[in-house]
Amino acid sequence: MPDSMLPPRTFAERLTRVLAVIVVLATAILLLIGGMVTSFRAGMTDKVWPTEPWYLAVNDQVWKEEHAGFLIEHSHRAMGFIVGALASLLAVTAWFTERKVPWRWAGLVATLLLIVVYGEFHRDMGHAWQTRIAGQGLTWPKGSAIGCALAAVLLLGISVGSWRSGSRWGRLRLLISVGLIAVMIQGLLGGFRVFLDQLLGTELAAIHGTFAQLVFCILVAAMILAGRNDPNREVSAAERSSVGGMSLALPALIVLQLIWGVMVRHTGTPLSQRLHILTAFLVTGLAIWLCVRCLATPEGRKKLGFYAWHLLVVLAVQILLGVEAYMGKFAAAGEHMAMDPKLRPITIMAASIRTAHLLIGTGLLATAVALAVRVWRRGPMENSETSKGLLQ
Amino acid sequence: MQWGGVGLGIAGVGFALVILASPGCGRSPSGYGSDVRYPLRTDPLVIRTPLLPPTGVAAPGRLDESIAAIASNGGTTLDPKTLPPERQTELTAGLVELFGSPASPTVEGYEKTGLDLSPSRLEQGSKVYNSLNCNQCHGLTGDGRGPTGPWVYPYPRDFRTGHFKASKGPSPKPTFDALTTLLRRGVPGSSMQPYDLISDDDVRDATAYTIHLSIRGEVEFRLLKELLDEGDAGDDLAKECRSKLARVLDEWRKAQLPHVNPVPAIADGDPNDEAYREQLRRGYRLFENHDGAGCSSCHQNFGRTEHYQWDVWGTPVRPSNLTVAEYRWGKQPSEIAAHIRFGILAANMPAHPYLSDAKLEALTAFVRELPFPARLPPDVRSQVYPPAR
Repeated sequence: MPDSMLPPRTFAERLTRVLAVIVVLATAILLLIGGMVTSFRAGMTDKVWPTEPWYLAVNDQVWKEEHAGFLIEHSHRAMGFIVGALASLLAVTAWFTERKVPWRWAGLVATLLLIVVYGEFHRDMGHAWQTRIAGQGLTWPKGSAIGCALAAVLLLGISVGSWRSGSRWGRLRLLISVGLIAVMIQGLLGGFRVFLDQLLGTELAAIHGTFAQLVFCILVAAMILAGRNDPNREVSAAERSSVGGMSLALPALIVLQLIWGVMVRHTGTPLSQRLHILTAFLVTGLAIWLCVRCLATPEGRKKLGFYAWHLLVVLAVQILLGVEAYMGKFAAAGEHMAMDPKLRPITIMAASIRTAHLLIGTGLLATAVALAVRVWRRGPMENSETSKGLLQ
Repeated sequence: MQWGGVGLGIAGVGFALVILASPGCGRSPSGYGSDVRYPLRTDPLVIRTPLLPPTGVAAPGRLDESIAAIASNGGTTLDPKTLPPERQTELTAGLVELFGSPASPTVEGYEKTGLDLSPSRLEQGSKVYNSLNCNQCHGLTGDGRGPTGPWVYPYPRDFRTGHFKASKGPSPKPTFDALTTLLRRGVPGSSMQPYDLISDDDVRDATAYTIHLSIRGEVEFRLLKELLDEGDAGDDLAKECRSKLARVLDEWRKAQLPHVNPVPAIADGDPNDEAYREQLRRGYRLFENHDGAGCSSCHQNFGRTEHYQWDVWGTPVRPSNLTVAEYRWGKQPSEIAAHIRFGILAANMPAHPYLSDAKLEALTAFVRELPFPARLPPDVRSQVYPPAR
């Protein structure tokens, strides 16, 4: 079907697409800075959470005294606020693509309610910190916490309702709503990693690092689904049966590998090291096998070739970075050889390689997700109000 | 969809393994491996800081380079790496004999201090220190050079000189209670967090282990200084270690005793009370006047001016900005008064032992009210917070 035969996109739909791309790019930057936080072990350079989004702008002393750890950690927080704001804007915009007015307004109200209650919870946690340092003990803001949970459930319910009613872009809106909630949860995980450091710091840091990958997957999937679906590039049933299962297994395996990576970075246990190295072989094997299958047929080369080659290039870079990161962290020589890897001094080069390894790993996951979405996406969503494809 | 099932299976197994592998399940403090040893000090010993004040803090990640540069700026440092290898081996053996290893720390003769530094307490303290990631900033040996250390400012405390700014007495060493209070409260304006959610036992254990690291580091410091600066410390280094340890333990013992010149009890004042306002005026004069306490020579413009000085670790410190209500070492009147009377030796803040109780009370009141313009008398307020022109 020529592109000109597809129904024209509304302004809201075009804006949703643009915002989805911006959110993914901003999240990639956030992941980069988050990786630096761990590489420089700067997660606790500021013990105070929550802080205001404009903290760095108003604390000139931080810049004057070159608090490198503070700058990295607070840049991560600032970028987190930006991603949160962009994800909120995306979620609000996405509801304007709903053509059924009652669902549209219900979705908008639920999204705004969630944003407001989440902000209130953030503010209440600030009070909780103040009472803590005043020596009055820890009091949890249960009211706003319950409010957040209820608002999230409400938004999910309305998103599911809108999707089940057969609305156009219903699944995308659901995915974006899930993405917004995931971004909010991720923000809280990062905050509680600081707030509860003495009780669960390392564990929450590891969960925060792991969950980041899942959030990124959701946002990448939303970005691809928000793009125009060219029916000429739809993968045939035969091709799908050849690579479809593997295309789903690969992101799952990469997520697992990223989890081991997070464990290596945060705990460095021998078990996590072994699992990370062994799973690297599995990911490499499966990715190459999948790419070979994609490139084996003329249809696969035409419709999936770009993704397959992209995957192979990213994989090659990632393997190189992985070797370098391992050498830098565990195979130290000289005076640091006898030291616990966790306690070895950090150099800018080693930290950069580790951070790049993390970011390229996330890129590998994003590519695998994009490939899976391309394989499984059926039918132009613009063409049908009630498409029953696995992915619209 | 067969592979899709495989994918889901992988994800499920992964999460299950994460939960199993996570050290968070049934958390208990995990200690160092038995093969971990305290390494001998390799960073320079700062013997004398330059006369000229520093121009600013060291560049990020370059703490040791900046300390090494002290010698070329008119200060004196000693490089432990220049110690002959056989002496290094001897010294290491002597220290191991007295202080054990990170997994089995000891302080021989600790009973003399009156502090509970028993091996069982220290072993537990070592586990708490490791599991709370204290070593990420303070390092394995308490040198303040953990992986995060060079990337934050104020730099994490290096315990090895035996100096603690939290000391509220004439000794650079604090009481055990002062250290536990510091752990509980944290240090505002720095990366040191308040450990207010862990048990009292954990705090006491971690405090005891911190003292262990400090004693070990100070004995090592004094011996290295003697070996490098004065040529030799005698043939029997093990004996010298014991001799230095006895002196350090005695200093810790004395630091636990009641002060000869304790600070008086100071109550909160009412800014509407004329007598209190007069006390604030007097405090202001003492602050500004060199014949009084002369605080303004370092806390220039009440601390607003950046005026760095050297501390005993060879790092630049900035006298506190007293117009900001951020008290690193305690905000209670008695704590502020203690720091005025006894000074902060590590930061070269002078003691004022001859300041009478009345003057001390006035100065303390002024310092406490300084961040709150509305509580200052109008004439003092106009000096501290001059109207914008």
